[in-house]
Amino acid sequence: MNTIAVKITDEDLVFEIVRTNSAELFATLYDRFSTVVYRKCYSFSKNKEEAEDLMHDVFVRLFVKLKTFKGTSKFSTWLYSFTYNFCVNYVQRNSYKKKEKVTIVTDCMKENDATAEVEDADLLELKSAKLAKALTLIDPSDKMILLMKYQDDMSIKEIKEVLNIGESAVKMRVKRAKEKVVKLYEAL
Amino acid sequence: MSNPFKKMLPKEKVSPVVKQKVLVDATMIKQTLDIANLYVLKYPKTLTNFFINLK
Repeated sequence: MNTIAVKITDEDLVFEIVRTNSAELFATLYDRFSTVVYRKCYSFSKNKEEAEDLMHDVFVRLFVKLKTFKGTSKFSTWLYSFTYNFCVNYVQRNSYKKKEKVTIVTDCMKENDATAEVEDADLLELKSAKLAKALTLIDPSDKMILLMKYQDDMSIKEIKEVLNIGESAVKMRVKRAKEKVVKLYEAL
Repeated sequence: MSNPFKKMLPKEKVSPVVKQKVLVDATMIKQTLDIANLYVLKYPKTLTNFFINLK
């Protein structure tokens, strides 16, 4: 069965797992996507151990929720959305203090809404360690959209599909998230 | 220009222990669902059919 599973598409593999509830087939799905999911979990965790725990929870939840995949989009896109939402919920649930900080930052941002737009080149010049710190301070949903755009190299169209929002809304969210992270980066 | 977002990605691979844990949990979930299915759906259905046929 597993030799067949290696050859079939992600979508067919998922439908087969849903039909049979087979843990062996699920292992194949795990092998295909574990690196991608781990990277995402790592971005939202403090260390390797926390990332692995988060990844474990993502995959266990995925096993239960696989039947909600209807095949209207690519499975990888659906999994991106699933993982990101899981990670964002995890961070929001576990960091009330951070949330308070973000509220303050957001309020400050609203006051200075007329700031100049942050160019991509300026954003990519930032130092990674300091940027990682700044990213822990912004809202997880803002962090998510920045990671999609600059770490996963997803296009606006792909982000639109994953988040199920309009193209202009994606652009606006990216713009605001960039402004927030650069402002925090400079304040650090 | 190097992308600082890419530099944040983990260099080490995920531990194989995680896969084992995931698969053990997935198997447990599958067995729980199977048992629930047996006692909640199949078993009562069989009993109902048996007693209906007995009449």
